[in-house]
Amino acid sequence: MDSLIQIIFRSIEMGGIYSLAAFGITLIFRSSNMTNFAQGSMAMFNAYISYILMKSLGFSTPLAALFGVIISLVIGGVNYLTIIKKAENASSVAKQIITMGLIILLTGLAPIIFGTDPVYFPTILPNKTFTVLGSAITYNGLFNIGVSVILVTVLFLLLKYTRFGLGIRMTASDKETAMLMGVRTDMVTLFAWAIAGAFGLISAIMIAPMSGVQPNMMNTIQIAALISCVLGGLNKFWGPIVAAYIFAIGRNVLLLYVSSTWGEQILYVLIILIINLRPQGLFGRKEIKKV
Amino acid sequence: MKIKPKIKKILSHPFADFVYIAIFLLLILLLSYVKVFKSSTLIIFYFVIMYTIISIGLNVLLGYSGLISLGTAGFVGLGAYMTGLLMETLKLSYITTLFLSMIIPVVLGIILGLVTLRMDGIFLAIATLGIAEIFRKTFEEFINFTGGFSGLRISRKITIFYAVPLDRYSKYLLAVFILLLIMMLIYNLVNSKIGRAFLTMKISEPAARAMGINIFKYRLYAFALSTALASLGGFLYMTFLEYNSPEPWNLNMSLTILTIVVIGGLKSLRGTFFGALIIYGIPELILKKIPVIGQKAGVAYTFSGLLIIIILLFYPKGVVNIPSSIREIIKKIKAKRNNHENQLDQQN
Amino acid sequence: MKINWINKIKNRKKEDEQIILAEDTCLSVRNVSMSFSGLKVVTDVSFDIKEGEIFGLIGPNGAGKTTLFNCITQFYKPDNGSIFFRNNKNETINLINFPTHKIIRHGLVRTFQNVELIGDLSVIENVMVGAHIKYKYDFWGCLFGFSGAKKEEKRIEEEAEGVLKFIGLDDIKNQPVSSQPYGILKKIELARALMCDPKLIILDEPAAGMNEAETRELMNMIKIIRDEYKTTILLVEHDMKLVMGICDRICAISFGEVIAIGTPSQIKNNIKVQEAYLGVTK
Repeated sequence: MDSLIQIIFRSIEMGGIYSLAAFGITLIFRSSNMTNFAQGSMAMFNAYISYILMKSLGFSTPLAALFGVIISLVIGGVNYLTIIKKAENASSVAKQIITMGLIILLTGLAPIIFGTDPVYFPTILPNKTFTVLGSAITYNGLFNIGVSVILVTVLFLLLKYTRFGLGIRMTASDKETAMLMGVRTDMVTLFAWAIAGAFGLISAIMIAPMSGVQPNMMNTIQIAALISCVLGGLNKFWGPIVAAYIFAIGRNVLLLYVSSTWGEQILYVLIILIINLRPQGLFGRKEIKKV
Repeated sequence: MKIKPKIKKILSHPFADFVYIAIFLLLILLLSYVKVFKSSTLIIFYFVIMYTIISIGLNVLLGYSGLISLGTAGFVGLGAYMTGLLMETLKLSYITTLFLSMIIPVVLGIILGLVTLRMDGIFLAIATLGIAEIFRKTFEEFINFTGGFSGLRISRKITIFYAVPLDRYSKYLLAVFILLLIMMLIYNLVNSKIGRAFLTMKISEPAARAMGINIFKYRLYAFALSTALASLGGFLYMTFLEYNSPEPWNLNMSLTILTIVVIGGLKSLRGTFFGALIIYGIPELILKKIPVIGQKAGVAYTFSGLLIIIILLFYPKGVVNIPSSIREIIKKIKAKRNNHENQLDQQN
Repeated sequence: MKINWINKIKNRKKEDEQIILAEDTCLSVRNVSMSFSGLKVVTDVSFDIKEGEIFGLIGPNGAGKTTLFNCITQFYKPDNGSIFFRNNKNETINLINFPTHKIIRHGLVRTFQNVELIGDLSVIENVMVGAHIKYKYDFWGCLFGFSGAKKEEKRIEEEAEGVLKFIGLDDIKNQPVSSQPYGILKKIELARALMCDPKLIILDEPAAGMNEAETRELMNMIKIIRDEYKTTILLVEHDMKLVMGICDRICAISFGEVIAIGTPSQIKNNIKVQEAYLGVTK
């Protein structure tokens, strides 16, 4: 029976994982005005690549992860340059469908390139535990939490205090004006897609020990990330992050203390109720459509 | 003789295309019956029909109303399970089950629509993604109703009018007629004020509101209709295979249906059939027969993914519009040639 | 707090039932205010429009014309005030009590500055959308193609042909809207607005993007519409020649407030109006 501390700890860890994926989706949405449904699939694909690095080239797990991150940055960027950029003038529905096309393509390619055998990806840190108030906490879990928080914080600092961050915020707020003021919006968008790819991969590596590396490993995370974005509101960059933690904690609480079969469904119903009352999300600002 | 203009009138009726498709499908039936085609061919085309019907539903939702649903497969699966329960437990016959199996899926669809369709379309996309997960888990865990992973089986003979037993050939025949009927009904719908209302709300919400179109109500219509057709697809699935399990009803299938709609051509009913033929038919009939590559899992899916991205980026109108585009190109070439000849004449 | 809000609506509805409009008043805007994020865009605007008038609403850029327009047509809900309208059933209603899509049922229709037409449909199909509320057959009738529904469709199609002929666009009725030039698109929108047998047509900058000849043609057309269709017209406009040329009365606003209401000559000579437009101070 898991203690309260372990449950809290694991919820925060999952919240961190969701927050990374959610941040990627937020970055892409605010700079390309596109909802990236393929966030999870790209992460899955890159996770397979990291696994190959580890198995075939004999990299240690942390090294494979690091190289995986670099590769995911490149793939994210290439994806933007080849496919996404061409779709810039399409309708918003068409843009969403293109990301769904990416899901299909990557989900189809994965078994062809990487085979169908189940794949085991170990934790970054060895699976040792330490005790806090009588409960066993994994070092790896702590590491995951730390990485999530640090990465998100670093990116926030970048957004707030650097010129490039200003460029990102300008593009996110009004692309045309940003272009007129000399912001390289295509560079900003390239960066957004690359970072989103990297964050996605990191969250995939974090969940890989529990889910294995397989084509639908990121399904739950993808849904959680999208819901976090909607729940938190996409007006501000930090909204989805906080919402991700709320989602993770809420989910565990409901599953363990209310109902283990219906807990998740209850969570979805609650979220739908919240969104109906506040369509702009918990932390978002109401936008008035100009007619 | 006054027959010729009459024949011409019949041939240019908009339903003519649908009849041609039905005739094509019936030919397949005939050739399978006389064993020219293998029985597996019949199965493949049955599934093409099933996918066409489900995709027509998504086409009304996406092509006409501009809303994305990622939960189509869940509703198909639900329709299949309802069919199984109605036929197995309540021992109902074909036609009764056809209508009754749609009730619960449509009601669920309307409830889902009530809570998501007042807001921006993206909410429907994300909500249907979540609902697909819920469906999948429910199919797996509601063992009393669905049999869980072992599945649900129809053990009795499926009959129509409670008397005539159905075999594969008669089921296929019925499916062709159902497809024809659906195409005609939906054609009526989208060429009426309802179809115009759908398009207006898709392209310009302000115009829709100004002209008195209740956007929420019409979105509900579109979503309920697409759910009904998805459920009908599940009915066709279950009655043919007489076995159902949770596996097929996942995001992959929902995305396959999305691809069919996009490839075939949004807003085109004939196009949806061709889309199903391409996305489901080609992999089953051709790709899987290719040595080495054909047998690998994910080939069909990769094919779909490549196609949808290419079509969206380079030819968003969809496959069904290729003939007319070719005709336009030929016209332009002819016009250029005429101009060139005229110029030469003037010079002389 | 919640109880106050419910009482406010109850009181407003009681007040609304007791309002009687003067015989010849078609629309009465009373004390309408609207602000966005604390910024007051429209402040306490009131004016009346008489039956059969062509009424103009003018003001420099940013004066709040568009916001006021949207408040009247219920695309925005104003923060304060009421907008009384004598509808096509001769009832006096407060437009604020109705959602946007119910407004046209009372006989009030609008056009859009940016021309909101449906490119996928043909010209005549776009015009037929204007008659959406006149259909009796709904979902099931259209699905099964009942003969009654088909007859109704034919009737509306003929009506749309008639309107297109009136506007002078009969020859392009089956062409796709997406290939038409801007001036034609504005006419198509006008035709669409006529389909609902309107009592009040509100035109959103109808002359925007038009040259002199087109504007003159538009001026004539608006007058003919008022005469033939016996409808009242409110137009929000920038083009002074158009406004001065055809309006019976004009309301001028600046910085969200009414600065003058009167006939064209009164407005032309009004000092406040001159200041607002030309920045002339004495």
